[in-house]
Amino acid sequence: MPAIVVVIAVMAMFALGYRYYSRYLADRVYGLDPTYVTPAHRFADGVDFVPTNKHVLFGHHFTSIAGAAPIVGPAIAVFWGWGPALAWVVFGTIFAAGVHDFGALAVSVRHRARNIGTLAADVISKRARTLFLLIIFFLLTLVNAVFAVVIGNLLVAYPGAVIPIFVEIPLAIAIGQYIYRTRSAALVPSLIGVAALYFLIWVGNLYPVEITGLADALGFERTRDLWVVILFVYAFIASRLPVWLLLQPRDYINSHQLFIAIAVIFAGVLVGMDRIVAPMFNDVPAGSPSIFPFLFITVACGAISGFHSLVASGTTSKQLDKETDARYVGYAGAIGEGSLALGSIIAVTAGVAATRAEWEGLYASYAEASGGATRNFVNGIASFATNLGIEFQLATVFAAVVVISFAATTMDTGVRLQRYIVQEIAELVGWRRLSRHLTLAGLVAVAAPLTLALLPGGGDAGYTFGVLWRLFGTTNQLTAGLALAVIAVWVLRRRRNPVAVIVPLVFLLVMTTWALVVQLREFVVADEWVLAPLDAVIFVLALWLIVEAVLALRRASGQPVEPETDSGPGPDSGGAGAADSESADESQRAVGAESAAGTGATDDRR
Amino acid sequence: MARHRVLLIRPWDAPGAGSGCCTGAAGVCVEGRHEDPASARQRADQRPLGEVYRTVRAGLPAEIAVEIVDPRNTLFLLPAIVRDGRRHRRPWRTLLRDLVRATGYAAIIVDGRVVSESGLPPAEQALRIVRQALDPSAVLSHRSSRRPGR
Repeated sequence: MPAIVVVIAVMAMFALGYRYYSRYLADRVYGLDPTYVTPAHRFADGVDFVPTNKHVLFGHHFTSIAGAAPIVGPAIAVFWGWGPALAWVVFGTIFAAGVHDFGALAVSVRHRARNIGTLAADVISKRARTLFLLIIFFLLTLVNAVFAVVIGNLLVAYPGAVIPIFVEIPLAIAIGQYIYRTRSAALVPSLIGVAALYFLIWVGNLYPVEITGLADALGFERTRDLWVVILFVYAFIASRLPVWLLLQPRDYINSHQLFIAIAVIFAGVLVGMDRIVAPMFNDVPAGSPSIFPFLFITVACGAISGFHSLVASGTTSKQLDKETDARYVGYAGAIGEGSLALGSIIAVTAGVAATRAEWEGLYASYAEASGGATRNFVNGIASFATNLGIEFQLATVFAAVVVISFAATTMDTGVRLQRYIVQEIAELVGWRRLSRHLTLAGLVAVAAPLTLALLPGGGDAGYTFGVLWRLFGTTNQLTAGLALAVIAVWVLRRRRNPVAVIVPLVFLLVMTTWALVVQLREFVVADEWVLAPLDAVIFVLALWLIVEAVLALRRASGQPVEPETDSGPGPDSGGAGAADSESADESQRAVGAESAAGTGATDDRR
Repeated sequence: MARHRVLLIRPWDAPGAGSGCCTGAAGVCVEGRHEDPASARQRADQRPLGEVYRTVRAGLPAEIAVEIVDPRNTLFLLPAIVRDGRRHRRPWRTLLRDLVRATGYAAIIVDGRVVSESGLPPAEQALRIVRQALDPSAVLSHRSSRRPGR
């Protein structure tokens, strides 16, 4: 089948989902009110709370959720055939991700734009905030581990990418410094940065850097492991640098790269009229992970991702001009992520191989499918780029650099966030020394994912990577489950029909717990005594979440109707289920509260 | 859509958006017992722009849109400048110059025209610059709407 037909059909379904289903959610489930005074207006301070045009906000929101994860998951999941993978991406986006992202934004706007962790304490129970912190700890640990492995694999497979990736760091710093010191416009220098990066891709292609000899000399079993260690040393140092010095200038270059890569995928497909050579349903070898439940945790970002609730609540919700804009920003943002997943599926089913037999060679087993996923994506993109007249070898380095850049940005921020979560958890359990020591907390933040990324098993083909990816998907879905539980309780309290929220919630919880049980058995049988306890702990968190969700929904069904307005005095006051000491600490910090005190409206309607 | 639009570009070193799966989740770091130093610094850097925003917003009629835009949000920013410039019949040549200057350090853009760059002016001065750049009738309508008894 021509890939372009699939692209058009999926885009049409996304359009229908936005047109009809998101309208149903807005009117009947979330009950959006265009006259509701959003926190952006109530607490407007120009810092955190800024009423923002929905098109501006969509740009901010989308660039904050789009990354490498919606590429990797679908590139593995086509192992079961492109039909099931695509169906989960399409229906997951329309009926789960859209509901989740849109709902997280809507519920946060009605609760002073608080983030989903604080809302869990407010709406579900005080224990839920601890649950949230623990889930996020495991989520970030697994994110950092899998992205380190992804980057390590790509640097081994495409040594031509080494020079551009590592020279991009001083290049970004130089551009940032130039703009910072001269106060000049950023567009031209950043475009020069992109051009310089592409020149470096050409140089890197001429002079590939391989470190196999060094890895052998240092006693590493796999070359990838040396890259993983280098990456975590880099991430630890980068997480201590000011954001504006490295992360933001590199981000600027990345944002140009994202649009160029998307244009290459879809223009390449259009010009080349590539056909999908992968089977719609793949007859997988005996002993492979079954499609139920593993498809639904292999593709997390791209179908539904709990990370989005962190972005939607607490960040985007502080800038929503009108409550009704949540539909455009939240739901369309989820569709944007689904479109990236679609691009990945097209790349690994139409671009990566010319014949069915060639494709079956690449996806002969689950281990090969997961270990080779990013390589297949890179080769697929390179194939589309050749349709546009770019030489294949050069195009592979280009595509590898795009994926590595995004994964590295995620690692940078992931280690920063993990350090913060480690401090929060340490405070909860009374480990003051850890909670107040940035370097110590940073070391813990790096040590856990580094250990997982260095786990032996399966060589570069990546048995371990496949398993880690599934565990990452599981914790991401648990985060989404927690957010959906918060949304469902809120909808129920307002006496609106929560079925649209409860169906994806139940589906996700069933799939994740099922997968955790199957994997636990596998790990015990295989004597995997690092992964088995990890899986068991995540399983306990899943059960805890189910109990909290059921109790909260039962309580909500018996409670009086929640008022339509939230008349709290300010963004940080009101306790919101947080501990008293926590509220006291918060009140000492300026989170836009100083201006909010002056602007806090008593009437929530315009 | 508002007839007049003022865009305040966030300073390069105080950005509000990032790219990648995790970067947008940084908001999670401001509601706990600790404040992440990077987030604290970032938010402190954003305060001067916040003051300019509040002053400009309060000094202009509600029908004039005032937006804070991240310099990396080129997907919105560049088309918006072209749209605003063409609506106010600005020639393509000057529009092109404004496109290049639009991501200037803490630039202020009024109806597609860059009226301040290379640094954030004090709040009152920023308001004066914006008022001068706006069509006089737009500001006058605001002054008349503030007369007592109206």
